[in-house]
Amino acid sequence: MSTVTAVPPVAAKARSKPLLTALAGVPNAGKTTLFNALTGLNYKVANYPGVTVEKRVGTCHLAGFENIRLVDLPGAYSLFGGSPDEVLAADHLMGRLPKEDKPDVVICVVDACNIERNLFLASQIIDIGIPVVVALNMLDIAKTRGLSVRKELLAKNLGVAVVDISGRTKTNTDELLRAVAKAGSGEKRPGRYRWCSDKEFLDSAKSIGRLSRSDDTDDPDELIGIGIGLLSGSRQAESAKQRELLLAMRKQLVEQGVDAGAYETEERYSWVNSIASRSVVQVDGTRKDLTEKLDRVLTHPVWGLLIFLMIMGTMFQSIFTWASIPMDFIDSLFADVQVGLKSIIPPGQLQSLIADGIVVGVGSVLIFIPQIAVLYLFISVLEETGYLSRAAVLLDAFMRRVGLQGRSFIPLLSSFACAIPGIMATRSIPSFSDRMATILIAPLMSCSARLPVYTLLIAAFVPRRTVAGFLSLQGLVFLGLYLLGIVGALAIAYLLRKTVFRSSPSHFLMEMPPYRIPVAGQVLKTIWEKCAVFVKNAGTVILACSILLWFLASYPKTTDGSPSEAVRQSYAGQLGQAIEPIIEPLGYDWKLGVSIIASFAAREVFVSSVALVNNLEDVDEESDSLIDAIRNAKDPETGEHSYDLATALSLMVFFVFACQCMSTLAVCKRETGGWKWPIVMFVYMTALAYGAAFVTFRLSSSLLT
Amino acid sequence: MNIETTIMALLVLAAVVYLARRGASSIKSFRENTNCSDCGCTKSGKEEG
Repeated sequence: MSTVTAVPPVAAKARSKPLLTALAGVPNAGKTTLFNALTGLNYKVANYPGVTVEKRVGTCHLAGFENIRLVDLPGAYSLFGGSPDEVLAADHLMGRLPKEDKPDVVICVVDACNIERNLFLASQIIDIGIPVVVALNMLDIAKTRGLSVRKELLAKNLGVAVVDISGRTKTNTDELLRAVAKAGSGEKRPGRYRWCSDKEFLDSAKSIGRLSRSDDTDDPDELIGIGIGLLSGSRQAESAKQRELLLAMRKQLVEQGVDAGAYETEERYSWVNSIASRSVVQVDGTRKDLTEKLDRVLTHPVWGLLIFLMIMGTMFQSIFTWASIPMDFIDSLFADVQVGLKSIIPPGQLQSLIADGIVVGVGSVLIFIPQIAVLYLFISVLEETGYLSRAAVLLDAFMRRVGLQGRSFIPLLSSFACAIPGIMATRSIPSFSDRMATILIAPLMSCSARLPVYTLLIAAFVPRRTVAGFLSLQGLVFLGLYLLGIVGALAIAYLLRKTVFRSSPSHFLMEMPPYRIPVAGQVLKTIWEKCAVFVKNAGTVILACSILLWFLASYPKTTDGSPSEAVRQSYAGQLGQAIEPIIEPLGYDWKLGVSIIASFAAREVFVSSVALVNNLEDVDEESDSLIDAIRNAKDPETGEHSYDLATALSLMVFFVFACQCMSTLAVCKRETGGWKWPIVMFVYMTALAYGAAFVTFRLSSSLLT
Repeated sequence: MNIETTIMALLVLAAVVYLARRGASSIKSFRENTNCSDCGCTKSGKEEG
């Protein structure tokens, strides 16, 4: 039973303006899951805090409530938090954002497993004076932990409606929206400052607040809010008289043995704890022990680290081994398509464009879909279970040694999928120095766009051999490349923290989400979406680049000479040869030079470019698979293999460190507010890539011969 | 110009136009500090507002 009297959906419809409703709450309370359920949108959700760092807007899609406009806010523990995402949430709730209305209603999403921590923010939001509805989420998980929540008592104490919901299963969403519509009708405003039983304190706060000229209000509650803000230090006094009154009030509190600055926080916590202790009952303690037992192992400095390394090792081995069969199938399929097209289309330029340009270019990228699927299978399962927060805690001590903190772990881990959400996730880091260092090293984590480059070169040049009886050598090299990115990133972070971003280490507090069994549908949806983005990229950017590259590698036409000579004299050939002196020390020829330039459009284009240029050189040969074509590529002058293991290792190291993503630089500019840091990022990464590739080529050439 | 050359030229032209428009969109996002329009990794829903 809900504490809310049902009102018909018409209440929401009757308004001429949409009912602007904000979704607020602490991180990982389930706001975005609820937002997706109410709007039908599909924003990223995961079982760790800090996934949402921007506000999102959507219209309710449930019948009868289309007039409710929802704003999903980043999570915040307090309205006076210091990280950029918390500031954004607070600014929206308090109507401080320019050109944006204050919300009409706030849905405060409360995690039933952690009522105390959630109610602190809820009580601050209630004090703003906007109608509030508490959405009590994750009651199912609370039950498995042996917790029972007395919803009616909670509603009575808070003075607002409380509706139990489940964002995941979309349970009770209609009831929640009816409560929102009722709250938005303005029938009843919540009682503010319930945490304060000291009437004298509230009267004094009101007197001080009245002296503020910047806020044109006579509302007693607003004046109390201003006075409390002045007392806690979140506002500055505007006049000498106000300052005088403020000092007198602080003195009075000190005389009573109360810390004036912390008075509000302490009183609020005390009130919240008393409500929580009355509203939440532990009916069965055995289940809670299970979480604690798991945490004891998974966050153990030795066992936890071993388990973490095993999980990571399994992930990278699996990406290589599980995906090999479907990859071979797709590879041979595209080789057959190429042969088939050549038999249908009459020989000529159009045949060359379609068979040697488009099919080879796009096909060479599409064969990596199985690996993308396996990578996101692991990422999605780890996100859903709640393990990632434990890993962050586990690595906090280690990251502190290089000047970072555990809070940087989630952004860095997100960067393995793509650096863009990784850089955006740094908004949950309150310390400027920590945040900047994390932004600058995030692109060194090997993103999924590098995966095709690594796979192609490993499959072509690293022998298929097992090590220690069960480990694949190819998988180990693959893991090594990811580790190289991590080690490089940590080394750069250490340097940055010792030079540019010097500050004392900040504290790391992280909400431990409950363990959850991943929902198969959610995991499959994530895999599907990521593969769809990859395919879309292949069908747009890679397709366009393949056509353009084919043109550049086929024109101007030469009347005589071999196909390889024709490619050499083409526009692409001329471009490659122009930069050859720069890349020759790294072991690359002009063909690889063309591919590296092309990879600045998108890293995957490197693969299609290598395939395309080599294919155009071997038009007389029978169509090989992509991997064979690269492995067997020969220098037309010497007849020797163009590339060897040393070249491949040098190339892979170059791709580990090189900054080739315009979107990453764009996001860096936006997040840092200027050109300085994207330029620094591009320059240091390019120099690092060149230097590391040079050393790798020289070392491996001398060791492997 | 025969039909084969015409189709080829149109495809190349379309590719150049697409890449140029995409480049222009990236430059615009640089200038205006807007969200990256290229990457589908942070969301998959259709954003409003």
